[in-house]
Amino acid sequence: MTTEYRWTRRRFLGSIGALAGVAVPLTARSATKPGEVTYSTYGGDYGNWFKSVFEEPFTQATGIRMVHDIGQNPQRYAKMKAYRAHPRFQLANLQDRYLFEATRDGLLDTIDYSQVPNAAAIPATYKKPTWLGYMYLSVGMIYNSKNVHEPPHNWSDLLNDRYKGRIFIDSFNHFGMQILVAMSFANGGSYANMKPGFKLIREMAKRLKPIFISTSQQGMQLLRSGQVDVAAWQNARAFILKRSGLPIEYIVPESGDVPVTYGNAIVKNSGGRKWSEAFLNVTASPKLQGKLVSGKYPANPTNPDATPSAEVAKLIARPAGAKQVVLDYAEVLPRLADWSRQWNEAIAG
Amino acid sequence: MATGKHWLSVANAAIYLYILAPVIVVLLIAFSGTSSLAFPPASYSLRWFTHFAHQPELMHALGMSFTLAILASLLSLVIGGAAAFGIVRGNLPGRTLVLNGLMLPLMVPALAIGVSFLQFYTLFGVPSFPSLLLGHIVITLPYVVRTLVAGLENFDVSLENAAVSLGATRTQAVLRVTLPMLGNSILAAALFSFIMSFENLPIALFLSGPSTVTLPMQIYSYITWVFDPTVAAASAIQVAIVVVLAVVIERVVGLNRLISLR
Amino acid sequence: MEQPPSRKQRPRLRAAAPVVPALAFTLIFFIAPLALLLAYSLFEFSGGEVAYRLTLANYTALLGSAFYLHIILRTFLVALVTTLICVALGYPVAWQIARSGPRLRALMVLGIVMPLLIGGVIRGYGWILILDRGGAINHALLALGLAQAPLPMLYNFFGVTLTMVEVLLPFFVLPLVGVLSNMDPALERAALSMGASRLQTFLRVSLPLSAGGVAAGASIVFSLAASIFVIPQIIGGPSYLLLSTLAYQQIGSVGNWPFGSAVLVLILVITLVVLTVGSRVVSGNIRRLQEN
Repeated sequence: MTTEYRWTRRRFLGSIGALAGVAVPLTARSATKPGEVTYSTYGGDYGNWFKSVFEEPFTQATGIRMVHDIGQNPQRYAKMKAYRAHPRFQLANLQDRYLFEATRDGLLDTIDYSQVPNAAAIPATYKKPTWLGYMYLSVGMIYNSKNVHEPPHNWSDLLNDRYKGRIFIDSFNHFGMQILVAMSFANGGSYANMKPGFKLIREMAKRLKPIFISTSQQGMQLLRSGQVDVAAWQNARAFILKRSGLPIEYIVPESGDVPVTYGNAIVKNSGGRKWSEAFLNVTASPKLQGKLVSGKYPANPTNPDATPSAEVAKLIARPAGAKQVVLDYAEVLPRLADWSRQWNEAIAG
Repeated sequence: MATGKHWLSVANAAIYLYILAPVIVVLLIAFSGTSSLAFPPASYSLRWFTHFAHQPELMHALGMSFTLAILASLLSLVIGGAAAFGIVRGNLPGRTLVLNGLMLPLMVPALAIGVSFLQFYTLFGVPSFPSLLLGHIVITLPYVVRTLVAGLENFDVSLENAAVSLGATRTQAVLRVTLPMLGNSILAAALFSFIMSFENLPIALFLSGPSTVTLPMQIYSYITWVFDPTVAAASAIQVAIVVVLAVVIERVVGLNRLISLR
Repeated sequence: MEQPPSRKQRPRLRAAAPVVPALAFTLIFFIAPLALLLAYSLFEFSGGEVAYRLTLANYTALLGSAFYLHIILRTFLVALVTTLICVALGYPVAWQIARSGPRLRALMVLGIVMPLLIGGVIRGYGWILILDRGGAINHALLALGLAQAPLPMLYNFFGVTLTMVEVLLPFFVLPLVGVLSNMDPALERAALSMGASRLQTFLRVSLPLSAGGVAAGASIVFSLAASIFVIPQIIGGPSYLLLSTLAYQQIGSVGNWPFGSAVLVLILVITLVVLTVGSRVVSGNIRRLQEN
């Protein structure tokens, strides 16, 4: 299945190259110099923090410098596909969904875990043959404990007229898909039957007039200014607000929240395998993972032996018996286009 | 007549208030004393400027965007300027078609340009910087052509012809008479190209690579994680650079002469 | 410009030669990649992957659904209204810039350019702080007792159009300034001295003479209004979906390149049709104005 896909794609693009009468890639040279690892990752504040926690110790230990391309997941994945024949970066920092797609497309190298001893304790949910997670956040419910005295327990508790105009839901482009699946599963749905989730979204859209945010900053602003009381969103941002002293709490729905794993993968044919595996080992270190999540962006480390600060450990601790809905992207991806259409129709009609 | 002028000024002042409203908000927030984005800020400080200066990748990206914008504007002024002359003076058979063809990049969402360029240029192994530059020329060229065509169409050719009849060659007449008289349009075209390139995000999103990250990308990445007044400070610095440049040009060359060559 | 017929053809062709580099550039570096996009829009998307089989399904899905037709109409209604407002607001501004003394003119140009220096994303957030339920305008309205409850100004037609005009106005004003300032004021003075009213002078002399500049600016504004995605993304959000934000969603986060490409191609085609028809109508009306 995958080999056939690759062949047709290559034939399609190759024939265009041939038509244009130009020899397909002249760049046999790698974009990477010796002594460097090229890394496509996040920029901004988080990128800087990530750099100081993982990359600086790595460079100190190995003498290998890291050169960055920055951006968000969709662009990074699009670039990896376009660069397939001649990769321009060796390591990629991606979300689980894109890691799944890149694996399916044959863009990633298999990791030799004998070179990554720190990963031994990491559970299989966050450790795959082609990628290794270093942290995960979770998608669930957020509420303002000052304004809401009876916190929601289930997704359907959000459908309460008290929250009219005072609720926001993440966009489908971001974590809306996770919200949809979790809502469906909570109400008897399955991958093949998203009706319960859409029913809830549609009713909320009609009755509560929720704000559908398009960026995380909008969500932060809405919660910070007290314009909304509840939200269907991710926990990491709620933790930031809570740490800043605001009465914002995260709730794992009784049916479970959805983990979103962030991990690293080695790009196939990029020639960076040895040092990339050494870097993966650094990102699996319990000490450094603890340090990472204790910074400005609290989330759960993938290594159970990780040692976050006492304050963050308390913040990210999962309640006893809290369930997880771990998405199977093999089931999600073929249905994503259809779900996006239904989602748009439910909220933007 | 005087009242007409008066009303025009009042109306235009209102329009300026409207278009400058977000600029005022952003500039005030750049001087905020707190990290919240409340408007108006509760207190004022310069801390966000210091914070900006301490981000080496923002400074590096500023240089990258500047280089890209200058190169893209220069090249599109040359190519586009020539094309505008050809279109207005050449009396081509398919004049409208040619003009519309050159305008096409304006009608295509920049996102489409980014996506298709990524596919196309990597197919031919074009490295990151040249493909960024090509992408930026593609989006700046239409502004140059449109602005200069409009300017040239209103230009009185008899002046250029007069110079020729007085013994100048056509090239001399163009360089000495036509170009200076087109000062307004050329300035507008250059300004447009520079700004459109400098602030373009969608193309860089897809065409940048290691070490070719532009300022809008850095700012966009920055905002993804935290939106404190640092990005407002970055904007204030950009505005300040242009205002200072304008004042210097005014003092040294005379902006008046540049803008009001008539 | 009259030249003997025998010598007419050659200089004209030579004068057309400067167009070649720009045309070649656009053809190689723009049209060719764009053809790739067109090709993608004709591929099938199944099982979460691009299947390289030709189909028109992406276009029939777009044009055959009441929901997407609604989005298409909404997109071009926003673009049209934005363009009309830009013309209405931009003409007087360009007029005053072109007719003022050097100092005021420099200042006014700077004021028009200034917003462009602040990237779309940041200006979008600036607008949110103004238009939000807790934003500057609602704050003022409530304080002055002009509104009982905060007015919704985001995620709707009002907010998107208001911000779009602000973002695109410079693209209308700047080309027009060049045209208006190259216009000979003596023509207007002559019309006035011959007894025409100011309105007549404007309609019969100034407007037709600047029609090229107005059309240039208006078509730039319309094209951009139909295709930019940063402002609709931030101010419109997922619940006020436009074609550009739909394409961004499909290509970016859904990974449905064929459908996203079809949306982008549709934006391009409709824009081209509107501008072609529009320029015919406008140039016809201008001719009539001049003839009357």
